[in-house]
Amino acid sequence: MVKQMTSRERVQTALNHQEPDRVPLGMWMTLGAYKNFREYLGLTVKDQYPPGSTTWSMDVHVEPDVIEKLGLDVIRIGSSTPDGQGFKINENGFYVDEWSVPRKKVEYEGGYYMEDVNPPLKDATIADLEDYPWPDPTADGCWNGLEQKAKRLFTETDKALLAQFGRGGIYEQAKYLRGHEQILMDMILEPEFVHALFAKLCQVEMKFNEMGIKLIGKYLTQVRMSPEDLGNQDNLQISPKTFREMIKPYYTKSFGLASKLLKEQNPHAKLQFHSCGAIYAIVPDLIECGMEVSDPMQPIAKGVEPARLKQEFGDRLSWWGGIDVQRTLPLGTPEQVAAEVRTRIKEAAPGGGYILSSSHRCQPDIPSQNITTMYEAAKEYGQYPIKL
Amino acid sequence: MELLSRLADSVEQGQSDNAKDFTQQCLDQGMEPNNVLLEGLMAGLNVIGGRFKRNECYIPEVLLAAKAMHQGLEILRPLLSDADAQSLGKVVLGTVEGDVHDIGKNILGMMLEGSGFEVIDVGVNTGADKFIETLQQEKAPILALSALLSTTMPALKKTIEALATAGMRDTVKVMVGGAPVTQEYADKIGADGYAVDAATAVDVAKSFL
Repeated sequence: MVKQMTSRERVQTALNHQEPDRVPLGMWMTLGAYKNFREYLGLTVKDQYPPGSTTWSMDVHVEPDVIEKLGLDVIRIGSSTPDGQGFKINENGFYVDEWSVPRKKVEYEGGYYMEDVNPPLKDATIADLEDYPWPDPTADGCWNGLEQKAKRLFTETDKALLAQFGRGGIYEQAKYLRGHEQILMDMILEPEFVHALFAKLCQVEMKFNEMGIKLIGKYLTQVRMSPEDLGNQDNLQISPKTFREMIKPYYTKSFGLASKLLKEQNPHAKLQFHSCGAIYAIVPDLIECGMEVSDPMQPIAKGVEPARLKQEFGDRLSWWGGIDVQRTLPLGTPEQVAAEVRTRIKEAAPGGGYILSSSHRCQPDIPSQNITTMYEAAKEYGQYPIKL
Repeated sequence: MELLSRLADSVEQGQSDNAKDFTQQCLDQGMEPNNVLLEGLMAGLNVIGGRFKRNECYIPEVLLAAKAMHQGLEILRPLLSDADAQSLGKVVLGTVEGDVHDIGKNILGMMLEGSGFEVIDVGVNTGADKFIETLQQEKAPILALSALLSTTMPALKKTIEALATAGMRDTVKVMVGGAPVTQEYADKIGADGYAVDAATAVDVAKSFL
């Protein structure tokens, strides 16, 4: 029988590649799903919640009452918009985010996303980048109240704290500024422009992380870099060669600085990096850059099968995620959800290095019962030592 | 002949300027526009489509090849007579309501064109009405629907139901795809075909002919 741990001990132990008392549990939700889920749990529901990981991602920082009620282990916190205001959609359904990217409200059944329209740098030259109104990571609005909040959560709860400070990233943000297809073609046709743009975005990302880590790094178990989607469902978006030439140098710099500053504040804290998709071919590169926690474990993307990842990288890498949001959680029965949780724990949990969560944000199409079933099953099957 | 293979190469390599120049040179030498299309532009596009299918190249290379092909096609289009322009069939293609993902859809469009289909791309976040209107206008027998999110998959079903309401369900074959979509889901919503990726989708479209 393993001694019962606090949430923070549980997460730290797992991320140090040791077995805690049970598999740690994390949560990630869109605004719409979160409101539904709070109602399901019988908790009060507000009209609006501040944006979570980025302004446009339509996710929320799940509040401690939900975390406590479900017995989860990780609370997510982070920077705010430079004006401190979050986002406000005008009467025509538009909003211009802190990168000056116009976004339009596009509704689906049960919710909406703020989708980028008219990329502002689509015709830009290198010279234009100097004058562009980049977000200011030193603006008070980004950091108001964050230190007090982190300190309070650290002292008043025993939860692990995961923070994201960057508000857009490098390759990902370039898609919105330049246009999704254009930046992909630019990497072949206009490498000088792309390097100039990525260098600028890297500077902004580094400053956000420097500000945030210096402010609250000592309270954290994980820092999550700005999300960067490099994979599709069945392959990388760009070749490993293009990744290594065009993107990796900036990750090396940006992960390197974040990691150094973080370990100075808190030697046990880990660097978490998000990319969806079939990224198997560049996992060793990302580890080399400084990724310690890979987010998400996406079980049905090609080539990143959990058992394979665990076998090949389990000694060097931990994962967040693993329970499929593309099929099982929205479409499966509670029994199918529980069965997937069991399989995932069997594959990914031995030896630690695994935080169980949905494989991406829970969207409003996921029945609330499937969410609670996921965590109940994880507590049942996730007791160490794993005997499945 | 050598010029045609240089044209095909330029498409495969994604060299837009060369594709344009070689297309013009082919015409200047008196080649039939339809031959230039089939043995130059489409031949090049087919090579890159095959490489993409085998995971030997990536999205940027495919986008550049498609762009190069369109440069040549712009020159050829006014010269192609109705008889020349016989395609395998018309496909109306789009991403469903609530979903703005378009790169996967665009790659499918390119691969369908490369295989000889005429593609009418109605874009992203497209409501059922727009699909129906376009199918009627174009008298197209095939509808290809894309959804990348589990939350927008219900719009696949809605679109198929709207086709039935419009009395067109028997005259239009519907194929569906996108990351969360499965054969099982396609069957459940009454789609005629499902494809796991763009290359397979071309085979599905051919099976409708």
